[in-house]
Amino acid sequence: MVDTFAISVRLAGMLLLHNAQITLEEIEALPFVNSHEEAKAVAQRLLKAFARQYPIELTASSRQTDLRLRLTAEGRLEAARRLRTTRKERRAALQMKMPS
Amino acid sequence: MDDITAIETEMEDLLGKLAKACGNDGEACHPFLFAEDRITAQTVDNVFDALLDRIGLDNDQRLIVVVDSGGGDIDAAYNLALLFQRYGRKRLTYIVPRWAKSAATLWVCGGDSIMMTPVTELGPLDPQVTQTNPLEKRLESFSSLPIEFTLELIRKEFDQGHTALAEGLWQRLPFPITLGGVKQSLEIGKQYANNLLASRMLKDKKASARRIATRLVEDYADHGFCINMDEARSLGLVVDDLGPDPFRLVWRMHKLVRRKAELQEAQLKQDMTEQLKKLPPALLDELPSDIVRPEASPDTKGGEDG
Repeated sequence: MVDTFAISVRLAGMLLLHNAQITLEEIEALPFVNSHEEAKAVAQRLLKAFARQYPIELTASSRQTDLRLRLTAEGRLEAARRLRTTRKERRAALQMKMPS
Repeated sequence: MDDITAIETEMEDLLGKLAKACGNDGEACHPFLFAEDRITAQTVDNVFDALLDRIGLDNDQRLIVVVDSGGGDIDAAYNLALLFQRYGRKRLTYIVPRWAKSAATLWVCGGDSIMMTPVTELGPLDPQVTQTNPLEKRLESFSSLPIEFTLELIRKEFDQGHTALAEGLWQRLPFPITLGGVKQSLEIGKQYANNLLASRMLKDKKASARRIATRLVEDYADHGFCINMDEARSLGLVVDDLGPDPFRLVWRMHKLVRRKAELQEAQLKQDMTEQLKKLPPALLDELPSDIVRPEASPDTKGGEDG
């Protein structure tokens, strides 16, 4: 059986890395997320997983109605550094595969 | 998108008919529809822009406002209530076809009267707080009301010698200043509700306004409690019946609001799918490892009560 929750968490994670932030509303608009409660569960899972690897913060409007997960400045730098490294590694791997 | 345009055209038509159906003795009135699931600070800007477009900066006619909302930011709702009081100086009537819960209830308390259908729901005003639990890095949503009950529970456990249990509970509470702030938010709900009620529908009954504000914040067991027409009247709110013609119009409006929301949600999902297609695949490699290779069962799924 396809674990749509895990897929949603990955998609939300990719969006978070790409845009440096993600709102609950955006999570709710993901293809397999069907309710506000599911969106909160995805956000919760993201928060827990990302906190181990990237500096991340949870922000909200004055009375907590506009929740969003945001990479801190440090987290954005870390994400950019990792992406650059991955691209270099991929290029190197591709060059190794190229016939000489 | 064409469907949404057609819906908006029909809504405009219905609003025009509603203004005629509600105007007593040919009295002119401006109709306005607010149908958004959540009220945010941005909502105030949007609504003010819409009022400027439709009416201008001032209004000397009666104002009829149809509200369909699940609530949201209580400060923004209060600001909206004051804005509509300004525009509805002559007379301000709110019509709630289906629901105006939580902060939207506070908003409609700012009118001269509320018109309700047999299925209208208003709701209690105890503020809901969502925040990160710093110990567990997870989201928690809760009402401000049970704080005193929780502190009493911990006190009892200490008194009865259950120190470990009491300490365990104590450590799981939010930071004390945050806790104080959350408790204080109950006062904000009461103050806002009292100000609004005492300025319009209960302007000659200040004591009733204070009593109702306190009841709306403190007296209901759950934030989702359904305050229907009878309950609202027994509270002391000024509730008017909708006549058969206005009822038919606003009920059709409610159906259109729901249909428009469904279409907008589908559009949003489609936009999101397009956005996902454009994401660089390399991002997948940078995700935290336990997202890429998830645990057997996510321990957080379904852990929130909303």
